[in-house]
Amino acid sequence: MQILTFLLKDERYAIDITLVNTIENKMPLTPVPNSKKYVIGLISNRGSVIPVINTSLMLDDKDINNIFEKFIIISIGNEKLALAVNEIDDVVEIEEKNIENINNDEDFSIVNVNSNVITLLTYKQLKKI
Amino acid sequence: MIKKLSNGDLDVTALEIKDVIDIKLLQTFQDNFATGMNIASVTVDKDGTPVTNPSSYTSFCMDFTHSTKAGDDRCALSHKKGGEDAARTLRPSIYTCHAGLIDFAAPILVGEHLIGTILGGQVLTSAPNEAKFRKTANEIGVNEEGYVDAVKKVYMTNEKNITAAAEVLYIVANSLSQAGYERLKLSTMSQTLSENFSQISATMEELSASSVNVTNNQQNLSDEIINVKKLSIEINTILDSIKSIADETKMLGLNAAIEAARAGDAGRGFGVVATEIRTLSQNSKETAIKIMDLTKKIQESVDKTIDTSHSTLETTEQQSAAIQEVTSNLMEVTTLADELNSMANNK
Repeated sequence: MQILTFLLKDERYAIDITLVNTIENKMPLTPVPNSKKYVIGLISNRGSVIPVINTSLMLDDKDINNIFEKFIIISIGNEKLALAVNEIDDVVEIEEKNIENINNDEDFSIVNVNSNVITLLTYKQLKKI
Repeated sequence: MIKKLSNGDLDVTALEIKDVIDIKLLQTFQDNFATGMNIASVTVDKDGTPVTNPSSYTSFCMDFTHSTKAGDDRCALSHKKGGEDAARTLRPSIYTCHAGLIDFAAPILVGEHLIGTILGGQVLTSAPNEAKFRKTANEIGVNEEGYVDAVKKVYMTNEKNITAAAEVLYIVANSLSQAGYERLKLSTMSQTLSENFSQISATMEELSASSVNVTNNQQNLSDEIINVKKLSIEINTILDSIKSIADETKMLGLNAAIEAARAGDAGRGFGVVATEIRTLSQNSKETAIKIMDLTKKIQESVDKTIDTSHSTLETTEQQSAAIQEVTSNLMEVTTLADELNSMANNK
C-alpha cells in the first residue's frame, strides 16, 4: 500500500493514500462559530465546503500556535475533511505487514519507513472526528 | 668660452677673459690708469690677442718700433717672453723690452688658471743710451733721428713706481676676474638649479595627473563591483521564484501520485511519472539552494572587495592631495630659483 507522509513541526506522520483526495496550498479560512475546538475554519474546494482540522491539536499536540502551510483533503465515508499540516513530505510504498497497532488498539498504528518509525493515521481514527 | 663639464661645473680651462671681466669697464679703468700714471697699457687674452685698445701708447712704440714688420715681430716676441714669465710665476713681471724700454706683464687669473695678461710700461728708469737706440733703429729699419727724438720724449720714472703700477693693475684686474668668475659660477649654479626644479615640477605634474587617473579608475572599479552585488541580489530574487516553482511542482507531483494511487492498478504507470516529477522538483530545489549559497559567497566576497576598494580609494585620494601639495611647493621653489637665476644673470 501507499502512504502519504507529512510533517507537523519536526515530527513525521503518515496517512493511507487511498483516503486522500488531493493536497492544497494553504488558503484563507472562514471561521466556524461553536464548532469543536480542533476545527479551525472552513474552506471551499472543488465545489465542496470542507472543515479544516488543526491536526496538531487533534493528535494532542500541545503546540496550538502552529502555522500551517498545506491542507490534505481526505474523504471519510461521505465526509470531506482538510488536515492542516506544516509540510507534505512524500508518497511511500509500504508492506501492510509492517503496520503495527499499539496496545492492540487499531486507532493508533505505527509503521517503519526506512528505519524511521512514524505514526500512521487510520480510517478508524479519523472516523471519530 | 663658457663651457660646462659633464658634472655641470664650469670648465675653467675654456674660460676667456671676456667671460669674466666686463671689457668696457676694464678699458675705462685701463685708459684712466694709463693717463694718470703716464704708463701705457693693453690687455691681451691667453693667446696674446689684444682685447682692449692700447692706452697712452708712446709715439716711440706706435710710430716707430711697431711701424715695421721687423720691429713688430720683436715687440711680439718680447711681449710673449714677459707674458710667459708672468704666467709661470703668477705674479707681475718687470723686464726691459727688446728696444730698451721698461715693460711689465701682469697675469689675469681665475684661481691658478691664466686667462689673460695686462701688458704695460713703455717708460724709462734712466736716460737712454743713444747709440744703442740708433743701432736698434737700423736693425728694424726706422729713421734713426726720429727714433732718438722719440725715445727722448719717453716718460722717465723710477722702478718703484713701475712696480707699484704693475701691482695695482694686477690687483684690480684679478679682483675683477675673481668676482666675475664667482658671478659666473653663481649664474651657472642657479641656472642648473632652475632647470632641475623645472624638470622636477614637470615630473610632479605628470605624477599628479596619473594619480588622478588612478583615483578615477579606482572609483570606476568600485562602481562596477557594486553593480556585481546588485546583479547577485537579482539572481537571488530569481532563485526564490525557481524555488517556489519547484515547490509547486512537488505539490503537482504529490497530487499526481495521489490520483495514481486512487486509480489502483490502472494508475501504476502514472505513479511512476508522478515519482519522476517529485524527484525533478527536489533536484531543482537543491540546485537553486546551491546557487543561493554561491551567490551568498559572491556577495560576501564583493563586500570585502568594496571595503578594500574604499580604503584604496582613500589612499589614492590622499596620495593625489600630497602630490598636489608637493607640486605647489615645488612651484614656489622653482619661482625662487628662476628669480635667483635672473638675478645672477643681471650683469
